[in-house]
Amino acid sequence: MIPMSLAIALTALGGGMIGIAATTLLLKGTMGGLPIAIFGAALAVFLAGIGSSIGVGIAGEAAAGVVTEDPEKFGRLLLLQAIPGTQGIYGFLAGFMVMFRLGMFGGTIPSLTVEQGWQVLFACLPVGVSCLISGIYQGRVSVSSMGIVAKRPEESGKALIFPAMVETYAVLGLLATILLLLFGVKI
Amino acid sequence: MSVAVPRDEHEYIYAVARVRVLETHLLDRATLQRMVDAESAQAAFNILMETEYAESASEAGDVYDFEKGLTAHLKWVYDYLASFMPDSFVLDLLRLRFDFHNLKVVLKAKLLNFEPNPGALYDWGTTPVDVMSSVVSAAIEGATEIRSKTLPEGLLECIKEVLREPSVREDPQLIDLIADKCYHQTRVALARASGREVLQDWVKAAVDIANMKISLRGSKLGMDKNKLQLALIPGGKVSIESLKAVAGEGIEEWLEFWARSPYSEALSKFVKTEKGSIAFTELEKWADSYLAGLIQRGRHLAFGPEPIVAYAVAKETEIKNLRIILTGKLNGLPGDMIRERLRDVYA
Amino acid sequence: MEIRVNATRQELMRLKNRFRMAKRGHKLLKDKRDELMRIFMQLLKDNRQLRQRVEEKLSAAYSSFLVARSTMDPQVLEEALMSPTAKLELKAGTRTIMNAEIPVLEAVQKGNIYSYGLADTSAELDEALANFSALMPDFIKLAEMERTVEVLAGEIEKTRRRVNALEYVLIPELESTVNSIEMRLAEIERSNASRLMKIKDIVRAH
Repeated sequence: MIPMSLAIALTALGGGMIGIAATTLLLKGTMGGLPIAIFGAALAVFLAGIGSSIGVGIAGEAAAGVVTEDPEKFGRLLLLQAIPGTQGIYGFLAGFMVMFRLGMFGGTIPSLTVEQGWQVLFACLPVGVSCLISGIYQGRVSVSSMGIVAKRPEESGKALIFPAMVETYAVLGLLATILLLLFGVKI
Repeated sequence: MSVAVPRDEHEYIYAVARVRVLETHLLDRATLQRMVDAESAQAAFNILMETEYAESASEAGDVYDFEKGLTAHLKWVYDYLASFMPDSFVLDLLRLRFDFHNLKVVLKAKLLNFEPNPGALYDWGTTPVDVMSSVVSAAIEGATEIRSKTLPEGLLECIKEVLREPSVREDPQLIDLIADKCYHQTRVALARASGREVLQDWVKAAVDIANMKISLRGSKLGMDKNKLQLALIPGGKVSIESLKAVAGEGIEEWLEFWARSPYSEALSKFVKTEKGSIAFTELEKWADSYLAGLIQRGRHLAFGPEPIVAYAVAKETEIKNLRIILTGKLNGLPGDMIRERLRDVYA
Repeated sequence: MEIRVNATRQELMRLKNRFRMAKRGHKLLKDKRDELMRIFMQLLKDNRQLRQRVEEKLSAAYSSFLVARSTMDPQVLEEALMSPTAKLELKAGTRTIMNAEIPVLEAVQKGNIYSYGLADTSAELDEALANFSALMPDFIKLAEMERTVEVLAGEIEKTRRRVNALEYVLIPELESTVNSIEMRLAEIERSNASRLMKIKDIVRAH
């Protein structure tokens, strides 16, 4: 399940980029950088979204299992399940950031050079890839932590720390993307 | 048998999570201790009534019928696990024991012409006893084509192998020996197909330990060498050929053989060096604890079927401990004698 | 009590003979009783020892069986003991001690008593079965001995009754009868003598 979704996501990423690169080469000069930048924003949102939905999904399965046997643990488990959900939000945030940076909210569609388009796309990769992978793994850690909550409810606080550690790398990815978008890309 | 292989370790997330909570209901050492120290068997039984056993134990009524309660509880464990298991692999692996046991009873009953006592049968195997019974009847009457759909492959093979022995009616021990062998072989095949390392390790060690017991007890009880070689089970970690070569030679050869095996360190636990004699109580306690320990290694994996198997094994160990305690209490065995037989607790 | 008989010399002779016979019989029976008692006491002692030994072994066998049972599922135990192949042949005969017929039992055990799988049963079961099996000859010996004691006790009782009958009934009766006949004969003698003396006096007075 996980390796497969990972493979699909990465193939989509690679395929999309090759596709865009090929299109750019074919239509050299006639196509601007905007589609490439939008593809970057989309990547950030959907890669992180895949990561989160897998993470939240497996954590939810485990939470449901525990709650079936012991409904009182619902609250703590909900928190653990929610943790891998943050990656999706980071992805969305990065996508939003791209739109903001391109001035899409101003109503004027900016014209970008191909080079600028690629810059935006690559700036989006840190958050997309790190959230995809960290979301999945954070989900796994959450599942494991739910084992702690199930077995030793008094250690729930510690159980929260392990998945939170994974969050670091999603945050770093987001940070890198934001910094790149703000200072790295010249528009 | 269409070998049920775990398709993906993530299939088990839900089931493992439920087992995690169930694990918290396992009786801890202190509870068992309290039962051992209880002033009477009834008092020990009452302690049990405060635990997850309450429902099953009330089926027994009073302490003299505790066996009924333990059986009811074991059945409950397997029925309950079956209610949320994503596939049949784990349960097949665990319930093979009951199937092969039932098969032994059915074979003996059919070959020696008697009605088996229903108390000798487990009624929660993977295959219903009457199905098994009709297949065995057909096989004895010489049906060449046994319908293989009705019975798992391993059981079918076992029936064929037993019936191939010409003197099985005169020597029904052969039934047990062959069925034990087939049981372990089927388990090894199932674990191998799953590709789960911990499970493979566990079933292979079980084969070795079974061989250890068979070769030791066989030569102690004066078993015929050919029969002993037939009884030894292939598929373990030690070489079956070299074990066959020393089988029935005597205790020194036995010791020498196992001292060269991966189990050499354990020998000191039950071999009394001054006489070279074996403390069987210790040997069996070690064997149970060792095997349970192997599977408990997989207990903390968050993904995969191992924690479920580990839970079932812990549960069976617990039931065994309760049987030791209650039998001991009912018959006034001293606390030390009970304690020295108790298996490790994984609560 | 006396036996009512004619007080004649012939009868006296007969009674004296019977008296002698009774005395001799009494002595013989008493010897027999004493010998039986001696054998009986010895047997009792042996029997008590054997019983004690059997009981000790039996309780050891039971406790080993108990231990075996406690480490196995009841279903597994049931299955293990389902197809016994061992056979016990029992030969029964009799012999006599001092006319008392006592039984002789002989047991021969054959076949494999460990007729079960070795992988899933407990080795403590081997031990329990070995204990039970080793107990069998003693068990049969004990049965034989207890029956012997019973038969001997009956025989002793019978002999004792006979001795008592002789000692307290027949012999005193015979003795007193003999005495009374002797006294009666003596009295007849005396009355004859005095009658003769009286006759002599009458004759002399004429």
